Amino acid sequence: MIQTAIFVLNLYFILILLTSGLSKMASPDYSLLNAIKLRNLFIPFGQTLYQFLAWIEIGVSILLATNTSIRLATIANTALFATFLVSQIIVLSIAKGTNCGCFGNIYKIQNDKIHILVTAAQALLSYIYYWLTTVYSEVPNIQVLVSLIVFLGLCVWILARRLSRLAIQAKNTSKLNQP
Amino acid sequence: MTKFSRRDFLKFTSAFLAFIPAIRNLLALETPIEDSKLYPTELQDPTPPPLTDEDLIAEKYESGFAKIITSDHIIIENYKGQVILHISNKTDVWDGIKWVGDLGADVGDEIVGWGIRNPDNSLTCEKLYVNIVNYIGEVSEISTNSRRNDNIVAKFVQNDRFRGRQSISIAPHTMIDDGQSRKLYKERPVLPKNSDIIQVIGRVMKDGTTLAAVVYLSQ
Repeated sequence: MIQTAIFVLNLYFILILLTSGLSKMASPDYSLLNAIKLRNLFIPFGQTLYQFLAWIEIGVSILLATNTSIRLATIANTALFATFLVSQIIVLSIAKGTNCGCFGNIYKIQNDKIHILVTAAQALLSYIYYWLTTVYSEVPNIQVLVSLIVFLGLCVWILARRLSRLAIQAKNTSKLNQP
Repeated sequence: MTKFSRRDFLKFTSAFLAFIPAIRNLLALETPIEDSKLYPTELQDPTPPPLTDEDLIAEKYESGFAKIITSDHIIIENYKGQVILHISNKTDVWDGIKWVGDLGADVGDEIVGWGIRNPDNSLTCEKLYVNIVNYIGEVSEISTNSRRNDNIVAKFVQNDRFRGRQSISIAPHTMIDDGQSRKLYKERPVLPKNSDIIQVIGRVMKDGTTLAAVVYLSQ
């Protein structure tokens, strides 16, 4: 039962961190930081910080998928969601109605009380996940294998589709440029 | 204590599982709206397209408040009901003023679209503006901000002929047009003087102030 819970949480956080990280990378110009910049709140290296977060998310999802340094990965996971929670509360107090930026420009969610509640639930789940890994450190090989397949499968699928899209774009551009 | 309605529950669930539509969008073969493409960098006059014929306006123009925003369309609500504005990477957002366009659009914003009418009454937007305003009036209470790294470098109050007192903010990238030439404020930091009558085209921000995109010093 508890191993199943660990497995479900593992898959959930792999999917959410990988998607969120890739979405942020695919939206280099997008950040909710843009929205609060104009309210005189200066955030040093805001855009760089946003992209850095994307790398952290992907890094943590790799650790979770490979079951490597799982204690460190689950602590980092909890820290990430706690950071998101705090930043969303700050942003909501400054600028109501902005997009949260969790998935960059790929999928926009309004940063409101419900979204903060969701992030709080995710932070709590990430802590529970951390706690469960401290109690039950043994993960069956089959679960690690499934997590790895999900992670790699999604990575390859997204990469292949984005490469196809680039090829389609290049083809369309060359058509447009023809006299 | 606020009641957690069924709608809130659905919203909670969809946000909790938001990675599913995000994966779908990442896998989409169509080009998503990317800010860098959506907002071209060339600077042009942001004055809305000339409105010459009432029929032409009705055919090509639509404005209202955003109800739903996705990567390829915005649903606005106006006196006609709900109207779909289709957007693509060909849509010229804020006439290419990237730093204003980068602010994007949120639900509740006033959207102005200009483009080609479709048989289903939706509009394929060639141009799109968010919370655009055009003020003409007398200036007072000018103040500058000397703090480094601040995004608002000056402020003043403008008494618009129709909308009354408005608080205007100047950013480093605000274009200043003195009638002879136009330059960014950071390149030529010139401000109007008290009692000058000027024109400001800008974007209303959530705090009610207006961020100036272009300031015409001579009227």
